[in-house]
Amino acid sequence: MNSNSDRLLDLFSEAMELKSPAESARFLAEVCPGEPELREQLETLLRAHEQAGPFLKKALVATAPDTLLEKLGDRFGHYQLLQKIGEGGCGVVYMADQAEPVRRKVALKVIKLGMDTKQVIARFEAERQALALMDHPNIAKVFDAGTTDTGRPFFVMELVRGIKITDYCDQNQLSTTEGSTCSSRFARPSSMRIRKASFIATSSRRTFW
Amino acid sequence: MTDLTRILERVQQGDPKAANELLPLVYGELRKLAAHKMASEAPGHTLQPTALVHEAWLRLAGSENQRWENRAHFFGAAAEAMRRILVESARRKQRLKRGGQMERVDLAEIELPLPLPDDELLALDEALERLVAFNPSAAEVVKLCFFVGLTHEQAARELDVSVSTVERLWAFARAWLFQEIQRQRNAVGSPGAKNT
Repeated sequence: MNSNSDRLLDLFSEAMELKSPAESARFLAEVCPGEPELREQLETLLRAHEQAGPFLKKALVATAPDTLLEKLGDRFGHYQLLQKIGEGGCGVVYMADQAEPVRRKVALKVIKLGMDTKQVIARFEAERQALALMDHPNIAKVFDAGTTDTGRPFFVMELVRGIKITDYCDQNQLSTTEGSTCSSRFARPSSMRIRKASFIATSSRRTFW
Repeated sequence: MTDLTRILERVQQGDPKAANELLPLVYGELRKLAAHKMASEAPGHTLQPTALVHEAWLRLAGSENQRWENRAHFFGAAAEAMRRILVESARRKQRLKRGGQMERVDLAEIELPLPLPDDELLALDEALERLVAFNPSAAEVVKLCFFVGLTHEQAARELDVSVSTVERLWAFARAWLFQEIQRQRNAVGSPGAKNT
């Protein structure tokens, strides 16, 4: 078997050095008489060499940057990205359209490429559990999880509308404690979000926006 | 003496157990390095598998003066390790696609972005495995030049052969792999097969 492959290699290399088609034709006719199988293999290889084109022309080259990032309109399973709504240390949050099994808008958070997913999930779960103590309609539920085409994990969450409390506080120059007592624009549930926001702020991580 | 150097010395002496230890070490290092690079770079930063291998060599080999044979063994193992990492990613993508609807995936794995479409990479991997059996030298050249990105000159040095030998092996391997992949596609007749 191996001696066969070495012969094939030698014949192939020899054939490759021939310049004109006439020379190649003569070579093929004369070489390996009485070994039609070998000659056929050689012909196949020479044909492949002609047709290969860009195949294996160069080493692995990294893909272009923009093919790695998700774009608006991209689909991940039943979800389609509509709009970017936030960005954090470990990923980007989009508003997305969910098609199945229910039609609704959701928040979809894509984790940055290459983040240690075990660590991300552990953090995510820890915060969710802490926040579960404050079970409340305004605290975003997690519906689903998956990975994108390029291997990044994403989480699908309930879309909670509204201005970021920290933004509101900034805009109105309130401290977060003041924000929690401000009731003219916020119903009670929102004051829980304010407390939650400050809880998240003190643990210096922004997961939910 | 680093762990790697010790293992490489034993590989050089012909210790078969050492050869078995080398691949997991290199494999683990590459994945760790890949994860580290992807986490620390800006989103969308491109990751060069070949640059990873070279950097892993610099890290693992340390400041000790490595013999060229050691480097050659390392690159051989690294090529194989990189190939496996990429094939794993490709297989995972394929499983997700076939899953049809969204499925929960084991998110514990680090994934390298694939430089080729996943089905092409898998087809190449299968054909390469057959080439290893048919002509190991040709397969080795492909691994070094394709997965590690060595030039023909560099590969010649690592394999301790002439540059023209490497070029012959490369041309042969390329043609052989191409026709082998085509043959597989025609044999299987899979509906999604693309024409190169």
